[in-house]
Amino acid sequence: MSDGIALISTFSSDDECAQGIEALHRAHVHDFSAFAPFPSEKILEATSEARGQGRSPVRWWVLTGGITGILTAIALTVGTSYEWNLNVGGRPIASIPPYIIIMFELMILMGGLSGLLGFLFHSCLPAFDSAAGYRSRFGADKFGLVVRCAENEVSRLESLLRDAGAEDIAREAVITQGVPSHH
Amino acid sequence: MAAAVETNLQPSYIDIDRNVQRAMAPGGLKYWLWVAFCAFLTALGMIFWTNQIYKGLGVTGYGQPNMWAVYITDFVFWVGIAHSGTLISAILFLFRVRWRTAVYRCAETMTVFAVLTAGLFPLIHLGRVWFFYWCVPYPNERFLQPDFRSPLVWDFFAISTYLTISTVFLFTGLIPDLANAREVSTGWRKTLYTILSFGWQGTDRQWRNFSMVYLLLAGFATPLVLSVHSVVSWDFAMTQLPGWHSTIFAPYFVAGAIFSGCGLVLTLIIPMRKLMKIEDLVTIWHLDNLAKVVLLTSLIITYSYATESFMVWYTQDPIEIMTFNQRYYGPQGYLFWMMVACNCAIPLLLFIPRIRTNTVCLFIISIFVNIGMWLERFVIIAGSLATNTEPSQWRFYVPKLTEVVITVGSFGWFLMNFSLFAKFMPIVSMTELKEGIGWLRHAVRETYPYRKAA
Amino acid sequence: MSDGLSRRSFLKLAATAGAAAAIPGCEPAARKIIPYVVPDENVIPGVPTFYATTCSECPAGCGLVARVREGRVIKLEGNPADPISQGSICARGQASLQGLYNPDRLGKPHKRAEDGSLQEIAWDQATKEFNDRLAAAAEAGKDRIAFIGASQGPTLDKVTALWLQAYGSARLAFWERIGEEPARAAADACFGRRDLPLYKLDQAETIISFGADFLETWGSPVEYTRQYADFRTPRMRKGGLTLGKAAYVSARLGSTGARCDEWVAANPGTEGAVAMAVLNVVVNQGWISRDSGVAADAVKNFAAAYDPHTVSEQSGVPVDTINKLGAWFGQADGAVALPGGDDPQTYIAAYILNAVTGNVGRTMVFLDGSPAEAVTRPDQVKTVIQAIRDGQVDVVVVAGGANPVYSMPPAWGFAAALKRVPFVAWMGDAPDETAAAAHLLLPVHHALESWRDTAPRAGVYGLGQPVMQPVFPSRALHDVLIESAHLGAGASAQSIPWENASDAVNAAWQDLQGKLAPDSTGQAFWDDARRKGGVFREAKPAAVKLGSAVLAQKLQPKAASSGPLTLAAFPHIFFYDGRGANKSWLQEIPEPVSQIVWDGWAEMHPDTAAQLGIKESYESTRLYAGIDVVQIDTPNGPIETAVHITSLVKPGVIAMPIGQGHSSYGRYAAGRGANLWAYLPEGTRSLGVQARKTEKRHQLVTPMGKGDMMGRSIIEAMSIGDLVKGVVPEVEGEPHLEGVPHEMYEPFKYTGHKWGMTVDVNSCTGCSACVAACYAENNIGVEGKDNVALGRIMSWIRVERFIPRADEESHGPLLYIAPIMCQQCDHAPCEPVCPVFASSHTSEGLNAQIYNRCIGTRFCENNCPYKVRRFNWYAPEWPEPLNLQLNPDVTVRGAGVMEKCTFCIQRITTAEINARTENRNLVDGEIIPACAQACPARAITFGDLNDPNSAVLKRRADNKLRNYTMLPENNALPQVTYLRTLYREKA
Repeated sequence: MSDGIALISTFSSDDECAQGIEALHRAHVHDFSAFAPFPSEKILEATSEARGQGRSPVRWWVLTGGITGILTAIALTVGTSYEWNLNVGGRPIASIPPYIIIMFELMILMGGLSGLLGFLFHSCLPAFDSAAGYRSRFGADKFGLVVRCAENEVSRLESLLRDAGAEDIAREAVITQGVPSHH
Repeated sequence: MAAAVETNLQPSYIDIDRNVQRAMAPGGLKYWLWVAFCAFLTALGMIFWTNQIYKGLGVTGYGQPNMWAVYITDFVFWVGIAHSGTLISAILFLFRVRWRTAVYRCAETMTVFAVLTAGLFPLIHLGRVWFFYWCVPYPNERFLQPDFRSPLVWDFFAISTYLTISTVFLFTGLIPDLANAREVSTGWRKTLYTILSFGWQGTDRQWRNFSMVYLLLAGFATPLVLSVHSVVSWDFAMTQLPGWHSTIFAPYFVAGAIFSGCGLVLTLIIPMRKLMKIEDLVTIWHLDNLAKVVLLTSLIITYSYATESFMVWYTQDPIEIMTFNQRYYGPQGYLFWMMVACNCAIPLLLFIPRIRTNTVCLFIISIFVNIGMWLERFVIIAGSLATNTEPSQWRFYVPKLTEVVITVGSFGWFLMNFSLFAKFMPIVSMTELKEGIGWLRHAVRETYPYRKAA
Repeated sequence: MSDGLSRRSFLKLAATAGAAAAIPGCEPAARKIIPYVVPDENVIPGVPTFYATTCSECPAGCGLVARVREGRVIKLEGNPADPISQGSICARGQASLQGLYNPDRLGKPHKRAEDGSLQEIAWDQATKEFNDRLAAAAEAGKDRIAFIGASQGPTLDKVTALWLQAYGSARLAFWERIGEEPARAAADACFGRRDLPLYKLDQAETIISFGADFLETWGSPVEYTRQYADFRTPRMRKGGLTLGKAAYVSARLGSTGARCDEWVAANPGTEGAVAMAVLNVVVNQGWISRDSGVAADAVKNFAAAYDPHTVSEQSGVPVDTINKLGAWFGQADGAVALPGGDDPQTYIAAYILNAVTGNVGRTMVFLDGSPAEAVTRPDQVKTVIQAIRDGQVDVVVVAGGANPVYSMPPAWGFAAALKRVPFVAWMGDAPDETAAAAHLLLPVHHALESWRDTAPRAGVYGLGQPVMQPVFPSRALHDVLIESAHLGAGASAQSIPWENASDAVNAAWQDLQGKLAPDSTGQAFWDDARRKGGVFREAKPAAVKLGSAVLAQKLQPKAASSGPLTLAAFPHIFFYDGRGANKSWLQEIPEPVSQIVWDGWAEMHPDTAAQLGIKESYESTRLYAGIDVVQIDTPNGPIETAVHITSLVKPGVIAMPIGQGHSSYGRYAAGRGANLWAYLPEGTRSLGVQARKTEKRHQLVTPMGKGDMMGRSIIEAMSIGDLVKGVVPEVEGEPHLEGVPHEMYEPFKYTGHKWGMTVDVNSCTGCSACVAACYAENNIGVEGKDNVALGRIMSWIRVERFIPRADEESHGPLLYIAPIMCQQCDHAPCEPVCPVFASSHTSEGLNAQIYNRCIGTRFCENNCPYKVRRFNWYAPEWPEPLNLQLNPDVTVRGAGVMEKCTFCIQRITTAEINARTENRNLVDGEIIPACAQACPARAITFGDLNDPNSAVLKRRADNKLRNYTMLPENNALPQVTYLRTLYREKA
């Protein structure tokens, strides 16, 4: 049994795609996702406005990573110095100025790595099954907008997307939370 | 094909993809011969290194007081090369400089492999390389740890961080392009790209996180690139040796690094764009801009040389003055003047637009830049040691075969890695070119007259 | 206990097992050699035993103490009880260890086959051959056997003579190339006695050396170096602080001259004439001492022929210089003239000079009861050689280190004569040129393996005892001789009542006991002598008077030269007459003034070189001291050698070191320079020659990068005038400093000991004994000529020589010479740069180097302002059996490791452990680093800076004005300070 239709509309420019998103937003339709070959400012603004999201949470991963790095460095440098208490060239056992360099480097290292992890985590990567309505051209030269809706809304949304400038709109029946079954 | 491109002043998204995909097409005999040649040089270097480990450093021209010479010169040279990559990919990204999009992937790749090469030299240089890991903090039963005061340990941290971060940066940028390659390729390549692209699909969610992490990585890479070469310069500046003990070293080395790096980018990209037929993506306009960076940095280091000498004169420290006297007029003074010619004089030609837009001239100048920057490090490192505080211990260094071969081998190793990458990975960033397609069109239009001429 | 396992052998086994366990580093070789000199109970693995013996490297006869570990002698020190060495020995003495462990020593007896090759034979076979030949010769008639050898001390020489008598021959020659004949002949002429005078340099105010390199090879260098250091320390004279006046008359400025006020560059061979001119000045100024008891006018007439002007023309010495020397000598409160070279006339002139100024008996002393002449007179040696040439000799035995083929004057034609002898037996340790001409080669003990006694002077009876089991299956020379006498000579066998050499020596000392200590018992006397290394008594000075006969005769100093150039040969400070050349330490340690290693060379003044068309073309990227080769044509054939251009030799003179040029004397001596003995006529060390440049090139290698100090604060000097005024001189080569030391952080607290050192540059003569001692004590590798050229010499302590710039000559010493070792800085720049803590500070202020932690980044050496760290470019090698000399207390460093001086930390720890076990505090002076111990001039003082009464602090305090640290602008706070050398302003 099929409970809903996925409208897969293709745009040739990111402007039109963005307009389509805004149109959907005005029509209070939020169950959509957009595809683009590059990070288009317009599309990203439109989507985050439609979804009412703030900026990406990856920032917090990076911040935590960085702070961890600094703390690790302090522990490592100061800790190991007092482990042996060696007089080296008459310098203090723990000479902070040189240690700052270690702290800086570890901050960068850990911040960067945790940033990468955050990015993969929030983008649900790696994911080797293609999402509903993905078309390979979306990776090349076309922009896609995939909307889920009930049977009765199809015609309204189609016209709405056409007005936004969709070149072509395909329909697919959607199994709940599933991959669209092509027929 | 080229003829068709010739007229196309409005490259489209698909044109970009086509160009890149053509570049990634399986390499012919010439390509593999070239790779084999690089591999041969690498092997040669390895044989000499093995011999050196077996017999001891005595096989080199090293001796009292020339404790550091060619190997550390190579190390600094390669680390320096790396920096322009990060400059172009990160710093210019933050500054939203448009021409970077075509060249940054190439530069970024160069960065990673240059650091990889640079990392070898501290090992080659060691007296007992089999104990190199004592420089690394690792848990051991005696709680023996490195001395974090030592600039060499800073080096270890700086270089390894730099390698990791620039690899991450390069890889993150690659993901969308790999996804693109995945769609068009077949066979084992498809599997490879599928795995490496992590199943990227370019949904708005993914792009949102992507741009954020890319921005932050760029933000990190920027201070990192500045710190790394500062740390390298402190290997010298932190000592008390006249000619090394100088506060100007950090900025001066960073500028030199970017100078030499952009030089090598030109050296690599000029033949590459011809051989891989990506002149439409990496246009004369891009090279022109790169050349301007070379010119600027050349002026900066010229200024640094002047300041360095001025400071020496200004201190009136007779020992410093004698060291510099020897650097300019000593038995190896000719090296210094060659360096000045390569780094300060010849790049001035880049003031002339017709030279900046002539690939042959650019290529030749970039070679001089590379030679000059290698000499700069040699003059500073070997020269200052040779004329130290203790006249009875003066001796000028002359390399032997081992150092020469190992240095050549390092170029083989670098070029081999770079060539393989350029063939199997998208060497130009498609996503970014599409993002800034307007600028690409602008570049093509700018370039059109030159290409007609050519 | 059963006969199977005696107590001795049991203890031997126990000890050796322990030894083997204690030192995994040393091979079974260590197992063979356990000393029998003392009962085995004394061998405790890991604990050194010390045996007193005597040095045989030159006739000075210094006493030694040998440090023996697990049966191997590993280090030689001077014998503190011995009045000559007084606890320190020279580089040659240190290196005699390498004579003992020389890899080229003859292991087994060898016989020369028809084809000239050597075949190994068994001992009994060899001795049979030896004795048969002797017997046959004795059959053939009287005096058919000749013996030529170095003197081995009174007792053994007597044994030799008796052995020869037993075979009915008297052709006996004890041969020393650098002989005593001129001195003895002169003494005979002047004072009617043939013994050698002693000099008391410390009693003099003026010293003038007429070609005597008394700090290098002349007479008794260790003793004279010590005395000279005393002489040069400023002292109150005539109510003021003064510096002894010293002048060196010679064509070449050696390290002896470098320490004098005046280098009087006289033409070679005219030193005697200059002495006469000085005498002339002295007498004409009426500076003749009343109590000298010589008639003034007789001396006047005698010296009349030598007025300064004539001599000035002959010798090239300015007249006013001669007058100045005269004034210095005549007006001095105690003066001494030291004659050198081979020309008796120089000696006579000097003796008279000393006599008429009343210094005989004061600075130049003859002793009662001087020992008999050990060395045979040249004319007698010549008669022996004549007999050999005339075929009156069937057997020639050459023994005991004398190397006549190498060292005899060419005119004597010894090598040719030897060819005519049917049987030549050579008995020695390392085969030399003479061995190459022998038919039978018998390996005999090295001096350190055998019994002997020495009589260097009246009142000094040295006892040489073996300090270890023989390294090779060799036999004691005189054991072989005694045995052969007993076998061969039937009736006359009774002439040698002893079984072997040790009996002979023992018997001799029983007699001595009767003479010296009648109240003691023979055994007690003998044991005491063995403990002390001999018996030392004060000898009474003899009353001598200058005979009038000598004043009647006319002196004809030898005409200097017949040729455009003069070749002046000087004995190399390390090779002496050539016997040192097969010791790698002596080859590797640079000659103090030329700083050249592993070679022979020709020193030329830039002007002379320019005449020959040679320019200083080697001041570039390699450590070369010379590269152009000249051919020098002498009456006795051409010499080809590389030129070292230096301002330290008189124009027109070519100075060449004696001692190299061995054709067969082991691997270290092979193919280096020329053997000058083969060109020098008897009785002189200079020759008229011609020279021309050849196209050949030959690198003279030196570890010395630049001979110019550039006015930096490395070796500082101050004038005696400034010292009196209390002014500390400015060093123009240094940046202006204020408020050094700068402390950024809380200074590190050194509770307990804090080690420091002070080096008195004014005492240092550059003799390099410290360097040799350091090589021996610290297992320092020898790198060889090629590696030294690449700057890879390993010495932890080096003697640096800087030549003053032209503008400094008026206000500075003739040369700047000082030893430089790790300065043990408190702010050690080498430490913070090491990534692995291999270089870090000990709690006692030492800058320690942890060899097994070092990974070889070499960053430390880059940051060391003094460049005293050394890197192992290769793994060091010690050809067997040199490895037996290695000190078990010091690690042998492998390739890729940085090494350096740590004040002989092994000695410090040993002393601290002893103190702790004996539950007491360390005593100041208990710890002496090898360099300080070896220094004959006592220039180096080591001690605890936390001990207010330590000698080192006292020495610094007593010389506040002269105390300085090198290169202060580095603010490294060295714990080694130097005391500025003193000089006298040129008027």
